[in-house]
Amino acid sequence: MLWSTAAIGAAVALATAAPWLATWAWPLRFGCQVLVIGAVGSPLWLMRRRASREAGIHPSLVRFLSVADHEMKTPLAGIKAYLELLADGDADDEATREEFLVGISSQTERLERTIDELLELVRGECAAPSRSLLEVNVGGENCERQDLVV
Amino acid sequence: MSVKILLCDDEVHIVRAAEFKLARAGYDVRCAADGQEAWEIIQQDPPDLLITDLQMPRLGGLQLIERLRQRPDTNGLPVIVLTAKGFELKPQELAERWGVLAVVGKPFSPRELLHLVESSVPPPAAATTAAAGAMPTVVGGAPAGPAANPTAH
Repeated sequence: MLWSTAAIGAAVALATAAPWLATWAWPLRFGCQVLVIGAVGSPLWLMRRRASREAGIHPSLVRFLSVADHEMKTPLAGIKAYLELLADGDADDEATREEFLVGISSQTERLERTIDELLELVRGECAAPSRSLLEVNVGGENCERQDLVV
Repeated sequence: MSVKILLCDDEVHIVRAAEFKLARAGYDVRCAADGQEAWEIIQQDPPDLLITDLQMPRLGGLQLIERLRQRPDTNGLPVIVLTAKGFELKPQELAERWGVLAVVGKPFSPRELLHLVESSVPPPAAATTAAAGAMPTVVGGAPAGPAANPTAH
């Protein structure tokens, strides 16, 4: 890093602030200008490409995450709400407590099914990479591919 | 006359839990399974507060709010959004564009929802039909309480 900074600095000095260079030295000056453009431009280009990769999340991934998020949070909301009502002692009678417990049970099963479906999807994508809709990086234990498709 | 709250969500368990908590606190709670049903109830008997989900069949929450804001007799109705789509929403924009009081992310706490309702409308026993006059100020456009962090599900 220090070396490259020094090299760029030297190249900039030679390329832009060296009127003392003799006519015969123009190839050297031109070469330094190319070096400066390359040295400064390449990292910027790489940074921009990396930033666009990181920031530019594929719309399909956003859509998938949105649906998965919604499908998991909805039953979780029911479970949490019923549990809080029970914990707060809001359910005065046995029938209401039973109703909330049944609700918790059904929503837990729904959440379990959703998670199973997601896992099934991931497993299916690991086994069948040709069904590619979208590339994401997943380092799962059961998936050898780094570019998992969902 | 008690304070009328309209709960609008297509998830029966969420409606049931919220309805139970609010009714137990003394509010007159009515429920709708989607935006269209809520719209029909509002036209017949306007509530003092609407709590609505966004993603629903027939008529979504934002479309419902848009309808409300277009009519002079309903454009002052206080609205709380209860949604699992919190991470996609900007509470500031909802407050400024749609006059949404607060965004409560799912999973939600019925206890916190009740606190939010209590801070948004008069207590159950002191209700008036002048809901618009009782509309609280949106603090900085950002919802208070649970709505302050819709992503904290």
